[in-house]
Amino acid sequence: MGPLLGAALASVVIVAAGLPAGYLVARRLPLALLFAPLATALAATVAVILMITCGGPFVGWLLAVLVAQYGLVFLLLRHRPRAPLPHAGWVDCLCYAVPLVPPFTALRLAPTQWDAHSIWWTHAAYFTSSGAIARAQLGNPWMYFSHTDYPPLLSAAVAVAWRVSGPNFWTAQAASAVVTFAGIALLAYAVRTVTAIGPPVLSRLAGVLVALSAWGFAVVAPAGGLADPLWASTFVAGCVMLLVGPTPGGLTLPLLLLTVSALTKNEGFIAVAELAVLTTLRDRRDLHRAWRLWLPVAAGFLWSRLARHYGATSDLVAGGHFAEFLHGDPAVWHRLRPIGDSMATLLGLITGLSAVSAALGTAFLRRQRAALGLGADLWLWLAYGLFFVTLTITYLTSPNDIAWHLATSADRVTVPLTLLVVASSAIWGVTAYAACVGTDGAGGGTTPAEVIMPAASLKLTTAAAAPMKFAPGGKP
Amino acid sequence: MIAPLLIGMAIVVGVIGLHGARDATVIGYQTIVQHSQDPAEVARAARYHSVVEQVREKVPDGATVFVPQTPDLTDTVTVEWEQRLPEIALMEGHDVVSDAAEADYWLRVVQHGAGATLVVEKKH
Repeated sequence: MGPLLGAALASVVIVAAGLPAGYLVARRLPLALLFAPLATALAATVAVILMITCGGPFVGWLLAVLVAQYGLVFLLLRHRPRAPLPHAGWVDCLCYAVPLVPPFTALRLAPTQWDAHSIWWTHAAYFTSSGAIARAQLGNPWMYFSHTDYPPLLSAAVAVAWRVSGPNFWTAQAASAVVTFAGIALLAYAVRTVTAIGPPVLSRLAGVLVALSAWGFAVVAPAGGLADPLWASTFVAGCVMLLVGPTPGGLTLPLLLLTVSALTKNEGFIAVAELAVLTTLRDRRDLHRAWRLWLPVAAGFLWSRLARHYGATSDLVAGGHFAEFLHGDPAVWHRLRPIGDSMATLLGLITGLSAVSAALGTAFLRRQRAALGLGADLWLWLAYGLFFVTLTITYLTSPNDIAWHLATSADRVTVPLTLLVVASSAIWGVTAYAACVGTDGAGGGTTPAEVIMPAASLKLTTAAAAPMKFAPGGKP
Repeated sequence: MIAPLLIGMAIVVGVIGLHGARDATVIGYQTIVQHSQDPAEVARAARYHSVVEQVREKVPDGATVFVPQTPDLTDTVTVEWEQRLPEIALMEGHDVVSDAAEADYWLRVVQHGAGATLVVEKKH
């Protein structure tokens, strides 16, 4: 089988294998197709964890997990009927997916990205074999360069692809890209869901703009086999759905997206844990909702403990200067200036503009935003702030030369921050449009108000349907 | 007044955020339509492929292999192969051990220009 045919076949299998679970989540085929690669990657991750824990071959565990998953899907579809997720039809899903195709043509670049090989595909190489070999490599001190403690999701998807069409770097790059494509498309879906207060065209445009920001300064990362765009897009999708909302489809999809993020990279795990703290604070009066937001954190923690148990480590964990950081060592704090310069170059303009937009929106449209059923923008900025601080501390305490470390990673790891600020601005833009046309509609007699403000008009309709109840003096 | 301003700012921020996707599209277009991409990366991909083929030919199925490492991090060619060889060996179904005494074969690569030759030393 040629490399391109093998890559195509593996990609089809990755979509097809996750389609039942995707349908269970979305209850509509178009969105199920977009979610399917993430479902396959999650199933493969479970298979990898079981393989490492119990031993045996990867293929056996993968088949067992998929069969169990299909059984569960069958039972849940039969006994737990529910409405499809909103905005999950063909037109919407094509709007999420088609604009992503042109930048993903970079998939035809030669598969030579250093970290894709040294980290993600090396892990995939030992995941494809057996539990014994995977455990040995996790604790192999000579695999130190490979960050063996990194979570397994993207590598597990590549392992599936290699088991389908044989080991090949083109196949690895294609499998990584298919899973990343799904994550970025679902970010567009998340923004579309929370901006449904606006007209569909504007809401879809907002989703696409945010999703296309996932390339940031790391131009070849999404199609090149790197994990950062995947964890960043699924993390920000979760942020948008949980912090801004509303989430008419419930918590299942955002929690699954956050689980993908936490199981893709250590930074994703930390960011998801920070988000769980924020959402718990935000929903502190609704602990029934809040406790479930910790499930993705538990998944990331489980992998972290398992990897440590078998001796996995990375340069940041093994050689980090955290004690020196806490003691105010000048050698550590001396690194702050180049870190600040790099962050300002990568994030300064876009963050500054978005901050002005957020400040103006909060000053003038806060009440209208709340009336439209959207959460405060401040929560997105708190998520930004927490991860910004995390990144800064990571660079401060890193054992690597700071110039080298920034040059080789800052463009990739700042992608979630870029996505958060673009999401903030896009949501304010749609909010402003909805508020503006709503005001015009009331004052100028134009008609679109009820079309673009379903949440607000629903409340008004409810009130108008029982006028007596709200009349001064009660029922006449 | 505030609404048009916020809508305009959202568009500006969104367009600024598009630069990476635009560059990726240009790179993809050049790769597919114009058949042009960085020759150094094409050569590197060819070397990787060549070493994969050599591992298939020269290392028996299921062998235990060892990849010696250099302490000289400035020797980037050697460092790169020290990271690629475990990946390729594991991908091809071999077990990569950290103890040289447990290995059936020692692997290293000699790179010469655009080519790369796998050197296999039998140890048992």
